[in-house]
Amino acid sequence: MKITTTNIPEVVVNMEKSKTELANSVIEEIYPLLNEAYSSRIDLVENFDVIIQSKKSKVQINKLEIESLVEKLNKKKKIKKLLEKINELISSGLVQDGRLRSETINMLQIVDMLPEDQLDTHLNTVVSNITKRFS
Amino acid sequence: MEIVRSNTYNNLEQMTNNREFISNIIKRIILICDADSNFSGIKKQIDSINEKYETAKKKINKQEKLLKTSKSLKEEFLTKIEIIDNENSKMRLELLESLGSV
Repeated sequence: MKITTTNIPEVVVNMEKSKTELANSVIEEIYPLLNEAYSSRIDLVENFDVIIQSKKSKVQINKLEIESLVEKLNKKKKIKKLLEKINELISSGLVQDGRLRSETINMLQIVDMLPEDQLDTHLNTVVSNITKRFS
Repeated sequence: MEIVRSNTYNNLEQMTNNREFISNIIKRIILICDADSNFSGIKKQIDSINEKYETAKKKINKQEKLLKTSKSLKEEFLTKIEIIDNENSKMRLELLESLGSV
């Protein structure tokens, strides 16, 4: 036989009263634990909110960077198309005369610095010259 | 209170009493917890904060995924730009050469 001594109060007179007292003392022990769990969760959620805000800014920065890269890539593609058309123009022998030749050389030297609208204008002009040549 | 534990036949009654007592105590705790408004209040608060915690966790995971995707997209675009830029430089030089400018 094994006898374990516990902190459970002795049941002397009223069994119901003793049970309630014991239950209340157990609950009193549980409350702080629940409060602790609640506070720790609140801290975690607050910490998460800070992380979310920081990541939100990073996502926004990345989005802007990608938009800028897409713009840059589109411009490079446009330059490529212009260069291909100029190559076509030169191959067809249309850039032999003095004025068009010097204009083409000037354009080739600054093509990377040209804004998109000017690239469009040059592309339209070159395509139009090629079309005239073969029409 | 002393709780007697024994497997001997003589102490069977004591053992049964102990078990009944503990079982009654647990039932009483559950009853009190159900009826106690403070207890259910804090339980609701914990449920609510747990929900917020789970939502925040999901949001962070989604953001992590977005950041990972955007990083690989950036790398992909940078590579494409570098390739097309090299091709353009090469073609530009060839064209200038063919026009006798280099």
